[in-house]
Amino acid sequence: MSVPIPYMALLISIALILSVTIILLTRRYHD
Amino acid sequence: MINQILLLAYVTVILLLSWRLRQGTFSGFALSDRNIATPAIIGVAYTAAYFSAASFLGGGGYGLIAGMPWVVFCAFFHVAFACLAWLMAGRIWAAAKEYDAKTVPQLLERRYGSPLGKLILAAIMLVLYTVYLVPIFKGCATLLQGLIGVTYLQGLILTVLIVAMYYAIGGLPGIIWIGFLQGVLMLGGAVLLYGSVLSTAGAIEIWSRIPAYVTSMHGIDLPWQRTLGMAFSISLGLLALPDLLIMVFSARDRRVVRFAGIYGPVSIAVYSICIFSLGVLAYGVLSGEQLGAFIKNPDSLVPFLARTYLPPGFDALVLLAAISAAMSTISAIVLVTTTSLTSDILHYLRPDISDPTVLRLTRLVGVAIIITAAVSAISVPSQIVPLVSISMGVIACCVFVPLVFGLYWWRGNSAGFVASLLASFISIVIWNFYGNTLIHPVFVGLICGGMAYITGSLFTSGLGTPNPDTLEG
Repeated sequence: MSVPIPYMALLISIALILSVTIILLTRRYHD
Repeated sequence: MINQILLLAYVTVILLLSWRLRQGTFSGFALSDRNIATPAIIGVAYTAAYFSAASFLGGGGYGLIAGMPWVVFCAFFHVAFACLAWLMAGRIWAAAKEYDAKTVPQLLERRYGSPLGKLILAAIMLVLYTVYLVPIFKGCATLLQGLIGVTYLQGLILTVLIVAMYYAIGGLPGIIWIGFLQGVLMLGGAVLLYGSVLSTAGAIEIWSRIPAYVTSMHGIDLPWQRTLGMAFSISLGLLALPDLLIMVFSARDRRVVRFAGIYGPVSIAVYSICIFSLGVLAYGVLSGEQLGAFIKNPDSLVPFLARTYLPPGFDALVLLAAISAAMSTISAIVLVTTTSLTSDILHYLRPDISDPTVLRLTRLVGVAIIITAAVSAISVPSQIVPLVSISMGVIACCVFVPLVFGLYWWRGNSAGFVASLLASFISIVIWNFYGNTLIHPVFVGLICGGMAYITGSLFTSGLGTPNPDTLEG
């Protein structure tokens, strides 16, 4: 296992940002 | 021969689709009558319109020079700004509908009650977008050269013919639906390339072959601060470029916008990670001699990787994906540039002009802009070279400040709007020529534009402020 730390951090932060966005967008769906 | 057939099939699908979506009214042509009801179409078309051939070739190769900071900052800002953009998109859509705005300058004009601001913004867009088109035409013609072996000039003519036809027939609906198909091709090409490079070097094992100085966050030949500025300014476009905002305008209702907000950022994330990583991953698969050659000419890295590591035939798909990236960007830009001239500037000078005339002019002027940009790409005039690198940043800055403040701060008024346009534009141009190169001009433009907006609005409070209740929610 030798993925560099910055790359790992990038992937994790992207996954987090996407999850939060999807939750916010779908939670606010009440039209 | 296979490549020619592939291109022919591609062009046939595009033309058939645009014919099916042909438009007879200006609102249909410029705005798709706000009737697009499929979130995935809007989300992926947004991604396709944003990424051009420059991202495919330049974005892929740039990691060779800039190293890991390029991958990390670029992919991070792209995803973060795409998410922010789609979180704001519902409000933008509601504002466009409320004000019955067909273009971005019109939306801001009606929010601020400022025809002058609209005129300035439309003029900035007209000039800088046309400049920005030139290198995209150049990239597309070069790619066609690689795909079917035509000359550069023939490649340019082919690009003009294809884009002019589907623009003039299909308008925004054509651009969005074709953009969706092009986006799918781009995503497929990006994943294919990334996967094939990784699998060549034994998947995760590739990282152990890459030298530590490449994977460190200090950068290779460029200081990380410059890479940070570049990544930030390029990604800012996702938040405020008018050719992307019209995709939001075209949605049928707010529900469509919300769900498009899932497809947009996810496709941006997949594409960014796959493409921007290639420059760094190349250190794990290429020899020192090969790397030396590509460091001198980073744009040729992606076509080389496609030819070398993909099964025969698939490399043509990747070239087609890059051509799609160029065409989807060109068509969306031509539409917003043309409507800023016909619907915004011309309507301002001659308010009594009829809709059918505006539609006819929008078709003709669009084709004229396509031809002008393509002719400039035959031999790029040296005066426009410094403008190209900042053109997108200027437009993004000029729209971003009044758009975001306008949606979320009700004290903002027409004086602030006009002041921010002028301050952003002038400060970016001056900083680009005389400022410290470690600080990107777009940072300066954002700060100056924001300060001018706030100062202008506070000192002339009470002008052009609409009812805050109109856009709630």
